[in-house]
Parts: sequence; C-alpha cells; structure tokens
Amino acid sequence: MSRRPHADALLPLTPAVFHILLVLADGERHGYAIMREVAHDSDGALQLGPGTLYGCLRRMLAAGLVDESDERPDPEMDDERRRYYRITDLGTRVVRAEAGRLATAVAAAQARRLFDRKAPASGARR
Amino acid sequence: MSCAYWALLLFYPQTFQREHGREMALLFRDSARDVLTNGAGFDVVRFVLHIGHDWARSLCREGVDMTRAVLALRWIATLPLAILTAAVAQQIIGMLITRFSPGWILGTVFLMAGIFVTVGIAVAPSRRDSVARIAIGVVVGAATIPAGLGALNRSPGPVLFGACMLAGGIAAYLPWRVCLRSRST
Repeated sequence: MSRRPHADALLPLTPAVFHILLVLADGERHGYAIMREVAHDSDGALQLGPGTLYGCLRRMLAAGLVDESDERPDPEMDDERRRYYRITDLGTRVVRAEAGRLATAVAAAQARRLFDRKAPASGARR
Repeated sequence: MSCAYWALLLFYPQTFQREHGREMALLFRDSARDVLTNGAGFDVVRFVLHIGHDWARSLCREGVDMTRAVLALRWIATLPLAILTAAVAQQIIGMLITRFSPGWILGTVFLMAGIFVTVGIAVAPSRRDSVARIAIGVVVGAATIPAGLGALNRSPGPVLFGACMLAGGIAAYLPWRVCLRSRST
C-alpha cells in the first residue's frame, strides 16, 4: 500500500515552483510556454531562464508534483522534440495548500492595513 | 548564439545535461528568436545578461544538488570502512605490543569498538543519527555473542571481552548522541 504524501510537507514553495504549478493547473505546457506564462502572470517580475526552469522541473518531477505528458495537444503546430508537462494530483493539492497559505498571509497583511485590496500588487491579474 | 549556449550547457552535471540539455537549447533558441525579432538593441544585451545570470545560478544549484546526492550515497560505504579501520587499528596495536596481556587485549577490543562507531558516524555526515544507531547496534550485537557464550559456560574471559567491546562502543556513541541531540533542539 503506497502512502499518500501530505501536501503541507512540501510547503512553502519557492515563487518559481508556485508559478510553474499555477501555469500547469490550466493544462499541459512545454517549457517555453511555461516560461512565457510565468513572466506574464507575474507582470515580468519572475523571468525564468532555461537553467532555472528545467532545474525546478527536475526537482518537481522527482517530488511527484509534475509529470511528463506523452500527448501532443496540437501535433501539426508542435515541435516533436518538445516535452510537455502536466500537474499531478499531489501538485494540485500542493498548489492549493500554498495558495491558501498565501491567502492567509495576505489577509493578515490586509487586517494590519499594509496594503489596499482594491489596488493589488503587480502580478495579481487573474 | 545557439552554439555558444550549447557550449555553456556542457558545464552542467552530465545527468542534468542528458535529461534537459536539448530542451534547454530549444527554449534558448525560441527566446533568442523572440528577442531578436521583437526587441531593440538594449533588449538583446539584457537577454544575454539574463541568460548568463541564469546559467551561473543554475549551474551552482545543480552542482550542489549533485554533490548532495553523492554524499548521501556515502553511508553505503560506512560499515565496510568502519570494519576495515578497526581491523587496521588492531593490526597496528598488534605490531606495537610485544608482550600480550589480558589487559592489552581488552583495551584493544575497547578501542576497536570505539573506532568502529566513530568512523561509521564520520563517513556519512548526512545520516549521522541513523548511522550512529546502526553502528552501536552492530557493536551491541557483536558484544552480546561472546558475553552470552561466556556467561553460559561460566567463563569470565569472554564476558569481559564482550563488556569491553560494549563499553568502547558506548564511549564513542554517547558524545555523538549528546552532540546530535543538542543540534536538533
């Protein structure tokens, strides 16, 4: 019987891992798409280079947060050499737990009037 | 530009390079194409600096990860190395002592058990706690056999032999135990 790993044990996540999981929560992506969407989601504050991105993906694969996908979403438009990544069940639980943790921290900051909810910090566009 | 990046990829650990090198090169090619097509002169410079910074940072990170993985495997060598060191210590003591007495033999046993536990713990720095417990377990097991047989035969020699071995193991184990516990609290 395999033990189900607890999501809280992997928290807190680094900003790069959190943003990669957020992007993959929308569906399968290849490295370049992940890099572009992370930059877009963070308003350019988080620019992942190839080394950082694939280093994170290697550790996330080892931790079981993401998985390699065999499917090609659009084979005609696609370069066969690209690898696609998808989020796993554990990855989904971990990103939810991290989002909850961050939300608690944000609520505490709001309660102390450290920032105004109507004027969010950059990157919170979704 | 892509050729230069391929050259930079050669500096990464081989396993990382093998698993992700081709994709990293593809990603670099696409990013570079984007910058060259849509960016101005300053964007190209910024891109080159960004890639250089990313390369240096990830190279250090992957290097550290690989070193940690190698160190984590060192515990496998713990038991044979500890046995070998204890045996070498016994041989050296044997060469130095010309007249053997029961006291010397018991002292050697004490010392061998102590060396065995100390070397065992020192070889695997990442797993000191578990290795310390395994090492003292081996010493207790090895000490119980002669001591038990001696007790059954009512012979004091083997009992003393086992007791000295146990005392040597505990003498080496206890400082580590105290040290590890004080670090963890």
